[in-house]
Amino acid sequence: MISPKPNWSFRFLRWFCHPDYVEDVEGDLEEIFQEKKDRMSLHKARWLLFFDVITLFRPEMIAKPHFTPASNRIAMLQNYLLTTFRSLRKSKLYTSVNTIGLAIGITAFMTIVIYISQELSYDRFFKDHERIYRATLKSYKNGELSDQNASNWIPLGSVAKTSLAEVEHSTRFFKSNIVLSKYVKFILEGENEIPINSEKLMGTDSSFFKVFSFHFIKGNPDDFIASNSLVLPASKADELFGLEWRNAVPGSSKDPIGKSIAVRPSSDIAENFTIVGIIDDIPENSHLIAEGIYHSSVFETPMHLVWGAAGAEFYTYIKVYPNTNLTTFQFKLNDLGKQYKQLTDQGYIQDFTLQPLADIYLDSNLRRELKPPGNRVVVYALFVVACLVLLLAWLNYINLTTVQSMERFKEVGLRKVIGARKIELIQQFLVSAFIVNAFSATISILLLIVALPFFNQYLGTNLELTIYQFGVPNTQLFWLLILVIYLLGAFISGIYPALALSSFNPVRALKGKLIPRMNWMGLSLRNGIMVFQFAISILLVAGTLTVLRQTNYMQSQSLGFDKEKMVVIENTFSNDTTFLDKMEYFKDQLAQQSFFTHVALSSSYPGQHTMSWHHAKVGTEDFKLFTLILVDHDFFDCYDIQLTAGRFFSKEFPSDRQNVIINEAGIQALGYASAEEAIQTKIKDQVHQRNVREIVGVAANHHHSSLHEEVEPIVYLLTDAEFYYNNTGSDQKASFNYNKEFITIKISQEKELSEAITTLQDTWKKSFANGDLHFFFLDDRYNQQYQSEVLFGKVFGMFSSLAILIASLGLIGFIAYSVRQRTKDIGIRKVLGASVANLWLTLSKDYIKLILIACVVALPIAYFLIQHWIDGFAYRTKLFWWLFAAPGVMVLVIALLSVSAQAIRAALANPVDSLRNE
Amino acid sequence: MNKVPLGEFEEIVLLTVAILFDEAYGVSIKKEIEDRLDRKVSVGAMQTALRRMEKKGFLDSRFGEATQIRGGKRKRYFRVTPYGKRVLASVRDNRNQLWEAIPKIAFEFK
Repeated sequence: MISPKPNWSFRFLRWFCHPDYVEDVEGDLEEIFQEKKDRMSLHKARWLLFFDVITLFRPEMIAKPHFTPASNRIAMLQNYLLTTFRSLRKSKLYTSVNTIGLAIGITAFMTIVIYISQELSYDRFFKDHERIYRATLKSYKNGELSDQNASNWIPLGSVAKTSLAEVEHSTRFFKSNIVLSKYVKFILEGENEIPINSEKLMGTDSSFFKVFSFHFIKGNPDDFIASNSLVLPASKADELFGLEWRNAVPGSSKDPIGKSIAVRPSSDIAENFTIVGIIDDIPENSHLIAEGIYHSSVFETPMHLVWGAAGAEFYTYIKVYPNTNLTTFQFKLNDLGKQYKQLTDQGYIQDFTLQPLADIYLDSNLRRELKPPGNRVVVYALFVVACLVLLLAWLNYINLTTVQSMERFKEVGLRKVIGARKIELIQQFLVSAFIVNAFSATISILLLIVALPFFNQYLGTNLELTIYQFGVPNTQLFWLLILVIYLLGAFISGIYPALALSSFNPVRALKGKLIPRMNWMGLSLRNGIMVFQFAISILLVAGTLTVLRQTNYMQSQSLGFDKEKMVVIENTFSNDTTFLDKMEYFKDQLAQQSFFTHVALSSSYPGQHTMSWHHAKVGTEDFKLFTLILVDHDFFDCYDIQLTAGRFFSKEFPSDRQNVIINEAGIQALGYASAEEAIQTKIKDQVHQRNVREIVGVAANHHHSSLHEEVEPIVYLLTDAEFYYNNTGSDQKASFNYNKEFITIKISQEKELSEAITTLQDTWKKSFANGDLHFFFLDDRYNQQYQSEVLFGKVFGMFSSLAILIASLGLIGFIAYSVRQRTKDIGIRKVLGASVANLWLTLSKDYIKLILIACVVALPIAYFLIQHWIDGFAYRTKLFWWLFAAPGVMVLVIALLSVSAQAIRAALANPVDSLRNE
Repeated sequence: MNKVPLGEFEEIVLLTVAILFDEAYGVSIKKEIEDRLDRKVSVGAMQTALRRMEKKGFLDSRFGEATQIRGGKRKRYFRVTPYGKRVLASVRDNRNQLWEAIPKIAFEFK
């Protein structure tokens, strides 16, 4: 029986197959098909037939395409391509300058776009992120903003959920370093243990996963109910269980769910956690950082509803229902705070300002941020720079093409005589723009692949190029953007030269009478472009210099303390009852090697945000926020902080446990007329007003925070200071919990740092029962606060250099042509007696003029922008005049160097050569 | 005639056409090769080889009868041309020459 054959296969065959062959081949195939379908399913036979047809799709079998001779479009296109390639080959300088300039421009632009898109993508991967807000704490005192905190009071999350209808879910968490020492271990009994940084261990309430949509690889968010349930990110699970857990059957011995994990050194929060889930690692582009998330019992005790029961250490996130009016909700939330007396004591107003989740990383820079914040202004500034660089590259193309195509005016003239219409000439030049841009785009993709790792290394960023994984939105975006830049670039850079060149008068062009110079308009546009390029270069250089100077200034400022050769050890033994004995031994050992000049214990070090308490003079209610630092007797000597009045803590006065030293800023804040006046007066703290302390000394200011901020008021207490923790009732006192967190060692001048570290490690192990040593250098750590400025400076510097490079490339190309066009001019001048210097000046003066105009345009803008940026710093470098003169001079020098090479060559040439040919 | 542009597969197709003599058309050639040599032959490879050799002049072809099973399409019968025969012979001669040049000892594997 004859079965119906699959038409589509044959239709395809008839379409491509040579008409002489098609009949018998089709017959053969049909015969094979009819025979096969008796042996197998019809479906399979059809597919086999289709594959046979595919195997026939090869050059020998395919009909040659034939075009109707009436259309010469293809022929013309071929001709355009031919002439384009020919002229590109002919002027190699022009071609390479143009392509490289464009390629660099595109690469720079794409790099920045990748960087920016990462910065802008923060926390957007959370489902419903547009409905999630963080409630921050803003305290106003007497109408004045006194404190802004990223975290909040513990009850807020719960109270908001129960009292406000708009709240779908709310969650609170804290960083466990407030209840645990910083370095702890997760121990899987008898199997494995891993170190955990408790700053990255989040203690949450049970609704954490209702607000944040994490993907559970194992387990279920609904099981996150019992206290001490633990959820681990995948990478930590890998460390703890090896890789097998991923394939483990639920309930088997390899299955991590339900396993118990001990924390050591143990604490009051929990001895054991039970794993209920494993989630994907939190991506880089989230402001949350977690090595573990556990359900803390704190949120199950009555304390979680008491305002002020614990510090404002609780990060509070609220997910509202869709279509919630945010203004009203914010109003209601603030109103909520006003109902609680504890919050409105002493004239305080506390607002719970909401921040959209996706804006936190870029826009929020409060106390206790979870991650060092980004900076939206920087992101936008970089985007502008990227656009400028790209624009420069395009302008280069326009300028160079216009000038270079002067060489092609005979070709254009001839085409016109033969009958080319203007539109065809425009097409022709557009085609060459598309070709050059295609080269550049290709080169720039290669450049990106090669350069991105270096870029990452130099800037310490973590950018990824996703150009292979199709289907990923990033990849699609990348290619789309490249395509847009390509098409837009080709069009923008091609259309002007095309219009200009197609307007030649053919008769004059062919006669050779056409003086190869653009009309008046063209000339001014060309100069305009150059002025613009120079102006942008100057602007960028001025910007770079300022950023570098400001960073430098901040890093070299006198900070009021010594940060050279200081090693800070993070003390993991502060809860050890025999710590002080061990410490003595440790010091002894080091002293024997004359290792250090000072050793000090303290609760904080410069560059670290630490706790702050409100203090006021006894007898007043004017509380001011003070940073509270616990120090031992050696602290001030070790850090070389000067004494202004009174005395430092001394072992001769045991009563110093109740006394206090404050800094000059504190004296000012409390309203003393002078430091001397403050000595022996008393201050109290706000929460526990029975804690009255006598000021025994005033220390000079030091920059405990970065130079972004003013010097803050500081209260120094001794490490073993005690305080009443009840305002009424028992007279019991407590000492501070985290009072000896840091051991600072000032290393002797003659010790080399590298060998000192080895000694330090050995001695530490000997003294502290083989404990791990966690240390850092104070100056490194302190300067990390300027990381974002340093990064900004580096990026800015890099792209300004690129901009200058592109501009000078353009200049070189441009000058090469203008010199060539003026060879006769130069020859005649030379014959008449002009010196090389004369000629150099003749050729260069136009450019000097242009650069001066550029300076006039760029410098006021630069001044305005720089002033604006630098106002954001509490301590800023002076804006010297040379900061603005230098970029002008620098651009001028670079430009003159590019001009001179060409100009001098032309000036040295024998005039006979140029004048002989007529 | 020393350099004969004849590939291994082409040689097989050419020989098969000769074997089938009057009955050599697409399907029969394919089957013959598959049966005799126990190897799979794709329609594409075979058709291309046929056309290429026809162009070179080793083969000529004529249209034959149409059958119902072929959907009314005619067969194209191939035949080896005298030139094709010479090419085949020369390939064989070259082979033989090489075989004869092999010293006996070369293949005496112990």
